[in-house]
Amino acid sequence: MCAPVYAQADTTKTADTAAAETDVPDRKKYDVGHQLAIGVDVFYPVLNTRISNKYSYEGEVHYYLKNEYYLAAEGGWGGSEVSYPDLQYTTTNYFGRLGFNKSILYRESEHDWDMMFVGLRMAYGNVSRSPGTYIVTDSLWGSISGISPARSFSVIWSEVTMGMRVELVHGLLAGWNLRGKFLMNGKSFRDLQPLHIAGYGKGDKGAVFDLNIYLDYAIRWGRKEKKK
Amino acid sequence: MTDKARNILVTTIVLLVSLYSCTQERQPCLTPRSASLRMRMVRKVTDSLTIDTATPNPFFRAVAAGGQQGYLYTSRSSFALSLSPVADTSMWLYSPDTAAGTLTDTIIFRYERQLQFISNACGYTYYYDLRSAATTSHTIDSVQIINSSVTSDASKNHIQVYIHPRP
Repeated sequence: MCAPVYAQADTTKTADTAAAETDVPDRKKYDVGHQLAIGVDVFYPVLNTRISNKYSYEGEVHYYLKNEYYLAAEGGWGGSEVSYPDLQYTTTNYFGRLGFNKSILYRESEHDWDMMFVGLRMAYGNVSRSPGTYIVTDSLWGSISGISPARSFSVIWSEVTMGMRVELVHGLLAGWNLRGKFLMNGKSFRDLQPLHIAGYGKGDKGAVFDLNIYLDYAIRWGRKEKKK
Repeated sequence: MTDKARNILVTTIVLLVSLYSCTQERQPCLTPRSASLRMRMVRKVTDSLTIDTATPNPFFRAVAAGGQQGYLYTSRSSFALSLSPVADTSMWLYSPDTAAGTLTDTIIFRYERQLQFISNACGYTYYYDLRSAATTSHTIDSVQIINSSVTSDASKNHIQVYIHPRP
């Protein structure tokens, strides 16, 4: 992971003169074959034990395409319970995300699968909400209670993400994703926006940040061995 | 994995986890919960000209099912009144100057209630769509609805109350 940093500095120097541009050596491209990594988020299961009113479970699959691009698919499920004095309901939902990661580190060798990356996602979730019981309190006129009917609805959001994966031992990767999420159809469930949507976060916020910590297992094949 | 990669991984995870908020308590409600009807007292000078009219010791009293509750103000020309979320009608009594013992007018507002979800922190409230406003005419000449949508937006007046011209 260190060599590319030095290589980047070299590139900057040579860019100072137009004549030197042609002298910049191409970065070495390795024939790395294929990699399919399957992983689980280990951060939310820990949070689930500490937070009683919501839970989430997430997993991911990413597949190396080429030129340091990875196809990324993620999914999971979760739920929440709101039991405030003036508002009570429960939700459950599943979700899926599809997108890509682009590694911004250069490889040290054909065995180097460590990466820092940026990526984009489109995500879809389906939320089922129980009837919502509410009380509108007014000290002057009196209070009134009611029920917002149960309903199911779709949630669509987009994400920008950055993160890293480091190979701890052969095939076992660990790392994190930091995500900025942007709700795209919040108006369609404005009658009672859920406190928590697994995979997204606070349903009554148009933009949220989130964190995942992953453990992945990678399967690799198809790399051509160098002839000695 | 190099030592540098391992150090970066551990450092970033510790940093990110420490920044992550995992509070489960209800967030404080930072937006207005109630929608108030805003009224402005004016007096006609000519058919096209009105001036804001403050009365010395204005007094409003809500006539609710559980009894009456009054609010004494210092001299002013604008007021915010609440509407009942439990009925489609609210009645307020208005006296322009309690010290002088002026006659009391009755103002009745009729409206449609609209249930409104604010947020999980604030819960639900009601917004109102004014249908009519009626009044007796001891001090008040007439009332006019200038904006029928009563929401948490505090920047808009909804009712203009015309006080009788001075004799």
